[in-house]
Amino acid sequence: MIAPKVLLWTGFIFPLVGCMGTQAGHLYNMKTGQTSTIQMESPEYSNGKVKGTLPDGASCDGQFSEVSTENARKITTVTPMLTENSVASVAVLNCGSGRVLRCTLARRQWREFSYGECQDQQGVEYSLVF
Amino acid sequence: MLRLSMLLCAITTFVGCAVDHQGYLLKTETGQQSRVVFHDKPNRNHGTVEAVLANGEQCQGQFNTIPDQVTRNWENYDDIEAEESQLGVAVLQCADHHVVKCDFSRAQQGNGSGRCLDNQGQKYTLNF
Repeated sequence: MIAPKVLLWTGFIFPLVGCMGTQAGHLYNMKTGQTSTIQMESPEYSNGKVKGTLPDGASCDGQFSEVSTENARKITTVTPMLTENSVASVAVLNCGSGRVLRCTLARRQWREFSYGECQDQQGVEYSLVF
Repeated sequence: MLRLSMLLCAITTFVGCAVDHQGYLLKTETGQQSRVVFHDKPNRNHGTVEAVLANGEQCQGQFNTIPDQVTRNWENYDDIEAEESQLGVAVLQCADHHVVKCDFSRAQQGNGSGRCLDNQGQKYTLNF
C-alpha cells in the first residue's frame, strides 16, 4: 500500500524540484545575435564541468571555479554586474582549433548560476543568461 | 475535503505566485517608446521577458538576478532573509538576429530601471 503513495508524491515532487544535476544557459553572441546553449554540471558547487556549443556550432568543454568578486574583476576582461552579496565564478572552455572562451559568471551563494559575460580570443563578446 | 485543502496548501507553498511587471524601453537616440513585460517566476529571482519595439518587432528572452542589498539573519549572518534589491540581466531576441541586452536594478517589489544596448549599437533606457 506504500507504493501508490510513494508514486503519488514522486509525481508531485519531481516536476517541482526538477533535475538538479545540470543547469542550461542561453549564450548570445552580442555581435551577430546568434544563440546557443551552455550546460553547467553541479552548478551549486564551487567548481565543476561546463560543456556546450558556440552559436556558430563549435563544441566546447571546460571547467568553472569560484573566485572572489575582486579577483574575478582582475583576471577577466569582461565582468558582469557583481555585488558583495553574490558569488563570482570563472569558466574557461576549449572550443577546438585553438579557440578558447573565457566567462565570468554571477550567482547566489550555494545556488545555481544567474548570468555571465564571455569573450573569445577575437574579442567577440557573449552574454549568458540562465 | 481536508485532504483537498492540504493539497492546495502544499501546491501554493511550492509553486507560489508568478507576477508580471510592465514597463517600457525608451530608445535614447529617437525617444521612441516600446512596451516591455517581465514575467517573474514564483521565486522572484528570474523569469521571461517580452517586448514589442516601436517598429513592431516582437522580442522574447530571459532575465536572471543576483542579490544586491539584503537583510541577513542576526543569528546566522550567512543566511539571507530578504533581498531588498537585486541586480539583473535580461537578453531579448528579436527578429533577424537582433538582440537587446539590458542591465537593471530592481526593488523587492519588482519595479526597477536599467539601460540596454543592442547588437546594432542602439541604446535604450529601461523602466518597469
